[in-house]
Amino acid sequence: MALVRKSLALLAWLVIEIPTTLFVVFVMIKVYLEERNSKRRTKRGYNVKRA
Amino acid sequence: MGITSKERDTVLRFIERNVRVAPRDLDEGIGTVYERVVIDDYFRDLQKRCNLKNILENPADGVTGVPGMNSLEFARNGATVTLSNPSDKMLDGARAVWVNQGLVDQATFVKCPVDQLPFEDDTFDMVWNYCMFERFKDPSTLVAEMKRVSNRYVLIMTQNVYNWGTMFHKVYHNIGNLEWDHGYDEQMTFPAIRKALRGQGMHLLEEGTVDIPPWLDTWDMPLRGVLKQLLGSVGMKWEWKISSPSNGSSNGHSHAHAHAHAHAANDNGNGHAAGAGSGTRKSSLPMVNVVRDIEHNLPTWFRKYQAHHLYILAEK
Repeated sequence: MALVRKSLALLAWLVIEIPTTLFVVFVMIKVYLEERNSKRRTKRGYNVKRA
Repeated sequence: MGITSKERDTVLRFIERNVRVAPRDLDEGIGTVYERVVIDDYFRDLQKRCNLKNILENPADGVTGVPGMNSLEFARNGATVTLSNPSDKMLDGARAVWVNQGLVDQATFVKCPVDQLPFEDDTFDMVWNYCMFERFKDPSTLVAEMKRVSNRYVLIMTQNVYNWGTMFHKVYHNIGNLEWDHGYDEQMTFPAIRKALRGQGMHLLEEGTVDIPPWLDTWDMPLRGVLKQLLGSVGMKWEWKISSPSNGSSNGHSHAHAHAHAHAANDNGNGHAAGAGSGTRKSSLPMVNVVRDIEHNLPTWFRKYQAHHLYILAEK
């Protein structure tokens, strides 16, 4: 019985984990791209001011 | 060797950065809220079993969330709590949280170096810290000081290096050219914690794993804002608070609006491989209950590799 319970818990965990991990990876990439774009915009604005 | 000045500086920067970005509205995100629910489960059980009345968190922190939140559960259950930390900013932030929670009368805030505590020997029933041990290559002076001021118990809780979120978080630091300020990988393991506690002549009482939700451990990545933005674009709201007077309320019909309330999540589960204990009280959030049930039934071998946190309780 304990083995069945543990197996079901593990299966449920994996079924939820895989899509949520993919989603988190997508969000990580989005955060990274936003930070990179924000840095570029800041840098460009600074250069414009200097010019 | 002890704690180096570079490590002290890194810890201070890490703590003060987190204080700066901490959500003042207590909306900490689902990961931190779930973590607080399951760690609070363990704390309630521990406090009852060990009759803890006077607790020191050193160095205190909030890590991913609100500063000074970690020890609140002990105070909610009657203990007096001392939070010590080298950062004024962290202590000020923590004081504001404790005032907001109506528990400031049970708390003392002390500024001091992590390994030079201004307390007499044997002052506290338990001394503990959360995700701080691993920040020191040689934590012996920290652990020795924790042992000195405790009259019986020392609890160390760390990140888990084996969790696969660690790998993703390292990539995040690398691509963002961010300083790695989370400490040493080799210290985020059971053998390292055991060694440090045994090195001070302490007797290990229990060790366990906690916080094993079925989603990636994102450490302190700022994902909350992106999730709010994404869901906001489809008319939904993303809000997670461990403690809120409007617990469970949702005015918006299409909102994924959720509050987890600390008092509503009084499970007596011990947060480790033994699974849920007796006297379980359900959270107001069905999802938290489901995830917690799954966590409590996971096999021990799996928990070790997917838990977000490891802990060991030791006795003098």
